[in-house]
Amino acid sequence: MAFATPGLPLAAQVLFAAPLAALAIGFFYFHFRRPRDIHWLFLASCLAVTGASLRLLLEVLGGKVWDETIFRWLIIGGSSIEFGIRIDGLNAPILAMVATVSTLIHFYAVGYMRDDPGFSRFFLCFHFFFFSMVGLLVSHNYLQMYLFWEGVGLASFLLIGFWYDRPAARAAAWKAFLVNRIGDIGFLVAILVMMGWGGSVRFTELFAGLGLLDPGIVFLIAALLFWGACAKSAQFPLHVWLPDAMEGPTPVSALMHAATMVTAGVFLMARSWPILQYAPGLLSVLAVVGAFTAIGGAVLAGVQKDLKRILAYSTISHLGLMFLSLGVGSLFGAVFHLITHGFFKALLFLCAGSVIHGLGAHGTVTTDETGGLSISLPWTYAAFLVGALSLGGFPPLAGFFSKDAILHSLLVGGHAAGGPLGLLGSGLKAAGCLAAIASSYYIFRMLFLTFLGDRPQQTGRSAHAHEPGLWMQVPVFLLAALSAVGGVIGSAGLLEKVLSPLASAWGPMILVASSEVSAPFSWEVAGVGLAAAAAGLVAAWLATMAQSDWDWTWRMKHPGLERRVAGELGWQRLAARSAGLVSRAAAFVSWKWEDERWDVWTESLADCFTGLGEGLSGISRGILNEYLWWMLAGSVALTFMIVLCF
Amino acid sequence: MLLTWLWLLPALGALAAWAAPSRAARGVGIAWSAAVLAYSLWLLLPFSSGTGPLRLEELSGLSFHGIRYRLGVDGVSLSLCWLTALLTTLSLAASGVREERPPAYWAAFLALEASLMGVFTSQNLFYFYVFWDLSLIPMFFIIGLWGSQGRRFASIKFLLYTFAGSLALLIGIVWLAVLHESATGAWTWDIPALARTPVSGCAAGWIFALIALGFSVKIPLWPLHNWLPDAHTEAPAAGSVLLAGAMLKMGVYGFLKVLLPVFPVLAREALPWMGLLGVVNILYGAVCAMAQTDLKRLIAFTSISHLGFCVVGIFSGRPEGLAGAALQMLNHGLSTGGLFLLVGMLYERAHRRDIGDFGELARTAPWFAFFFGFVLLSSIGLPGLNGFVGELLALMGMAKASPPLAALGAAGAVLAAAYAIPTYQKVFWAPAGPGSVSGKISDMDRRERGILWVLAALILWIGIYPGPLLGILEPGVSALVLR
Amino acid sequence: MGSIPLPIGFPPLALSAALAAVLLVAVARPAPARGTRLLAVAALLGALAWTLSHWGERFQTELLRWDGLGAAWMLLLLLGSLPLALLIEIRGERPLALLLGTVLGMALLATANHLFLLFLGLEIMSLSLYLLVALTPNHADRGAGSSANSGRRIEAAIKYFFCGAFVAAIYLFGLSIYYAKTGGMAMRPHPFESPGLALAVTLMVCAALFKIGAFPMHFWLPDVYEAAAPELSAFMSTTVKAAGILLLARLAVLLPHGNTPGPEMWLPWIALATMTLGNLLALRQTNLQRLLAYSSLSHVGYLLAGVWAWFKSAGAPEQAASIYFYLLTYLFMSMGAFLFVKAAGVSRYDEIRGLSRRSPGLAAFFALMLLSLAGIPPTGGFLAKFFILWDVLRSGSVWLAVAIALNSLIGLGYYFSLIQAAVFDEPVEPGPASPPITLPARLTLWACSLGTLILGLLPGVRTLLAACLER
Repeated sequence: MAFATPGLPLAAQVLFAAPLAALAIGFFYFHFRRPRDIHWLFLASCLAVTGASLRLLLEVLGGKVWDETIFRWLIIGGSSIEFGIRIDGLNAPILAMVATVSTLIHFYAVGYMRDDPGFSRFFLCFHFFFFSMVGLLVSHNYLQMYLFWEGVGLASFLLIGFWYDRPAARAAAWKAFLVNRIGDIGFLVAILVMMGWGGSVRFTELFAGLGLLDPGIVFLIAALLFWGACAKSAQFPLHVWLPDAMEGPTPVSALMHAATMVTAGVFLMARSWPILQYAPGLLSVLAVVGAFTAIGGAVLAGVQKDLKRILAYSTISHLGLMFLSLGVGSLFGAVFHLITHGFFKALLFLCAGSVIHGLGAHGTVTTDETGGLSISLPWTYAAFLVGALSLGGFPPLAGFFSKDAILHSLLVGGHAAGGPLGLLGSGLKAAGCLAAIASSYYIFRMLFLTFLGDRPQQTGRSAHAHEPGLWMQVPVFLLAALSAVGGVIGSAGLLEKVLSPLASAWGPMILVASSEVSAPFSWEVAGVGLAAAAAGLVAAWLATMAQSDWDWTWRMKHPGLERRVAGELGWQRLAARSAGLVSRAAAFVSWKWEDERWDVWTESLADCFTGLGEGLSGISRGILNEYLWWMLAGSVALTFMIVLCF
Repeated sequence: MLLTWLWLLPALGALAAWAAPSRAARGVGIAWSAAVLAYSLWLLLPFSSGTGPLRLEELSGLSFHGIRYRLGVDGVSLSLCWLTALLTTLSLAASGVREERPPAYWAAFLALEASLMGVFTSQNLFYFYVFWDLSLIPMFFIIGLWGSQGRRFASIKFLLYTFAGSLALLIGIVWLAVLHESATGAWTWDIPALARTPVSGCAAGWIFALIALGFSVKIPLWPLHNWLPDAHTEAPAAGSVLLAGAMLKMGVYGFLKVLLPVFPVLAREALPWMGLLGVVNILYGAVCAMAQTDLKRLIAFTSISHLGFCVVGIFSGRPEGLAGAALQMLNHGLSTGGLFLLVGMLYERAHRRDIGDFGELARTAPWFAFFFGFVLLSSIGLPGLNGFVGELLALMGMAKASPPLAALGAAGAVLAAAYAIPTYQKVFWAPAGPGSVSGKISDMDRRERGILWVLAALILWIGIYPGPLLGILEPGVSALVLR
Repeated sequence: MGSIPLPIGFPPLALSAALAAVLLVAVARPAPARGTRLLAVAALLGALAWTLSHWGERFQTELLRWDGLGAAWMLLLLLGSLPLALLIEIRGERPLALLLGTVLGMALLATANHLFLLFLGLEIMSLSLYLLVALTPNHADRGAGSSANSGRRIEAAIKYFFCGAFVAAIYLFGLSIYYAKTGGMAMRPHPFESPGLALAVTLMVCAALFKIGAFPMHFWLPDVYEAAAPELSAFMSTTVKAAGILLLARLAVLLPHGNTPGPEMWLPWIALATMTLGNLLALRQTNLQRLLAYSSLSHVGYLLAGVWAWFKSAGAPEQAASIYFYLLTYLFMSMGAFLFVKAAGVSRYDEIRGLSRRSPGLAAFFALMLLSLAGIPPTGGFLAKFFILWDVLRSGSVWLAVAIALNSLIGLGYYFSLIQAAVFDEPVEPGPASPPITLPARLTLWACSLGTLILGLLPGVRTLLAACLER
């Protein structure tokens, strides 16, 4: 594509060089010699990458795009696979968000993990994740992306199971890795199909040749990529691993399972935007799955007791929103929401982390143990309030603008998903609004229960929680600022400037002309958004703070129903049982068939020869006249044979 | 004479080790195998200057009815010689001082290495078969003399099972030569000559079946595989490394270098069946591995799964698939060799191999945890490590040949995670059970770490930058493209 | 045609003179044992020297002849007899006289040109063997139950005698029909127009089958080999078998070829039966000598398959060479195996457990012999079996080749269980103290191991043998 400017800028090389150097030095020197201050190394590398990504963002805003090959991975039968870097309008802003959020959370983790024995092991894995995420964002072909895709999966396995002596953490880590691996199969088969029929895995070459491929193949590639994205971004069928992933330390939950890793699926779909254009049917599937996940996540978040699980289901819900936005054709809305969501969800997780740290709990805290913490944790409460307002979608904050963009494309646009969809279109519209209302409901319910509520059964008030140290406070405040100011980049059209070349870059290949790249501001949509946020706030107040205390009384009256809903109406149990089924089948094949039948049969083959030997021993018992009879019979038979056949 | 030294050197080493006094035998063994490794690596120089399909070749003038001492090496066979030399050196270095009959231990391994080098270099079917049978005897003695409790049964089962395969191979080879002579009137046992004038007719089908049977016992292909788990669980650590690392490759090498060149037409007809068997191998090996409690038996079943990828690669018939099969042979040698070395070290410390016997080793033996995790990830095909490159190429080849089989093969990667991760968690993360011996496991010493670093470096290098290695392998297999 | 005076050292004449000398010495006065043994060995060496010096010559008289086949086989027979002459335990001169009688009989077989002389050689050999089996003491005799042991030896000798006599009668019956049909007993092929001649030759072939130990006529073999002294069993299993094959080869000239149903029809079935029976029965043996007897039975089966291939290709020299090569390698391996039994002083399977602990050298030797018997590549046994397989497949019978492969697999079973017992196992009870190995025995063991290994490395030997068997 003629658009790429030749030669990689220094900043692009820093993206790879800094983390790799830090990891190598960290592992070979710091991990053994001075494990306690390994973090300085990684903080420096994070800052370098952030600087580089911001520099690249400015360049991209200036209209530059890079698509450069670093080295040739392998040459096979005429086709060759190279590894390289691509920086364009799509991944520059996301890279900037990921880098800044990661740096802040690295700082936060220094404070959070200060007294953990595995301090250096944690940071090695944490930074390995950061390196893989950066690699994933900037790779210029699907195979390299898949390489980092699984690297991110491995990092999440190592970090969820960081406190490996706890069985719940081990099980969660194994579940996350297995589900991600199931998704990766889809991605791998997509790559195989690309190489087999598409001719190349590099974005530029593949998208250029999309027109020539027959639609069935393109739909297959898009569907398989969507399957991979579903696993990584915890969409409906494959979302089971994310709530359990909260077993990991909070910085891990904040960075990976809120801001960056789970958005990789959305990024994959955004990156394969031209392919989706050639597979319109898939867009509606995207929209439906997104909508269903958004509502499901929101409802479940509203019912959970555990702080981090509420935020986990909230993340699932917002990812569903992003897929919904992609489904209705708004690339801009999805990317914009991805960025703002990164900020305020990381902020909420860090505040939850501060609460857990403050209460001195190891692992997670439920709403029963909190309540009335706004007095003992004023700063955390303030930051949490900013995050909650942003997530709920109240005007000045980032959440409002990105959610507005999605609602706009949903309510006003809606033509990318094949024109007025009638029932499906209205269904999606309803789902969008419902998700908006529910999201502000569950976040404010959490806010009230954690910081303001003072129910007798909550023990939070009595606990002497203390504000976390500076290491943890500063990142929280910075994130709060970003959540507040984040909306500007959308409304001021900065993002449109960046995204538009991208859309036009693939322009000629996109069948559907007007893909939503810009979001003109309209008052009605803003009004609907604000109304939804307010409705959610009021509902949360009624459910928790008002004397009706609906949330608590409902929980007490139907404990069975509450447990079943918390368990996702049996979906988690179904997933667990199917996994158990597979291992029982493996046991059957291995023990019943392999050990007891096939092995025994082949070994008994040898015994049948010895048995034959026993049988034959009857004829040579050492009696002379038997011998002579045999010899006579033999010679007579021989002679008859000769004479008769002569 | 260059190639003759490749197998003559270890043979002389075997004699030297046998004659050496018990104390010095270990030193002689390791030094000699290192010398062989150095020599095989040095061979790259003359190899790269050679031309033609067989880059290096050796021919003796005498020919008795076609039986002629002829050696030849191309990319695939030279890389397998490297793998054999490397694994022998590492496994000998890793095995400690042997109490019972030390000289014979080192002599047996060097004799095994000599026979394997012979198999991978000989171009005359007669000598190919002589070295093929020769390799069974040292392994029989290795399993029988230095194995663990069930060694007596395992060694005789191993011998009879693989010898049945090699007898089928013998009949196939002799019948092939007879058929060839009746077709062309000239006696020849040279593979290049037989390849030039392919044999056809209904008898050729029988010969193809017999030779394929002989090779698939060795791979092992699915129905003929159940000698492998017993042989592996009872063999000593170094024996398992070589059995899995180098001996299983004789079957795949046989398919690549003997069967496909001589029977291209029949091979094309057999593509769907053998491809299916390859995928069955992948899935069956992974499923059985999921249910194992003995670590060595588990790794044995993973070998069956990995070699399934080789078969899928070969019988995809496309250049990527064949290159992938050749590369997967090396990858499997490195990763399974590493796993067996580690389990051997655990066994040497605590004389236990069961998963239940270990627990929370990550705390007491962090190096074990790191290396075991690293090599395990390589063996389940994590991208960025060597296993992935081989599997990707094999599946790429099969994707074009028959997409459903490729998808099933890719699903094998999920099952791979299913047996690897829970095992790792039980051994290294889960708390130690009642009967656990984790207390007795001391961490790896410098020598053991050095060995594993060599393997880890190779695994990472092939994973990150397979270009040059594939450059050596591909010309060797490019002639075999069937589709 | 003018009769060419036989050269002086002609083996049958020289050997009969030596036999007469030994008998005279025995009658004259009780000669020292050492003297008669030296005399016997000298006679054998003389015959060997003569054979080698007259290797290329060809001459023929009305009764005797000297051709390529005869020369080669004479060499083989003398090579086989030497170890027995060295190792046989002497009580008085009788065993040596009998030994010379056996060798004389075999020499006559090799050089006979007349059917009755063939019979004469066969009978002299057989009768001397019957007595040898009865008289030579077995090393097991010294231990407990020596009387029972010698009783078993005599019983085996009687069985051998009766079966031999039966077969001799069949041979003579065939000979008489042959004489009636052709009017003479010269060994010249006659055109076959009537079944009578085929009947005659087949009856004579039955005698050869008995001497080799082929299927219907094999019953005496295990009992005789088990009871006889190990060195005698070694002699019988190798040299006497070679003589049987020679008899079959000599009679082959008379057998019908081409369209008439000759041995091509029934020989493969007999080969299959012999090898399968031998292998299957060997699996369950505990007595070492009986096990080796059944293993030699299975090797007879492989040999007969080679002979069938030789007949099928109408006497091509290559097939003859591979049979000769097989007999040569079998001479070394079987001799080695039986002499191991004598050297280690063991007779039951359990006694060899943990042998490698007690005497590693002997255990290694025994393992090498078993590897060769099983047909594992570096040894001669593999090459021999390879040539046989090659010839069988060349003659077009694939099922026989598969049968040979399956049988060698079964053979592998008991050979390697012996190796396991000798090398792997721990000694169960304090095994019998192995007697000191005398110098000649040590020499023979070394000769056997070197012979097996050297023959294993030279695939070209067969082509050389084929050339010299040409004429």
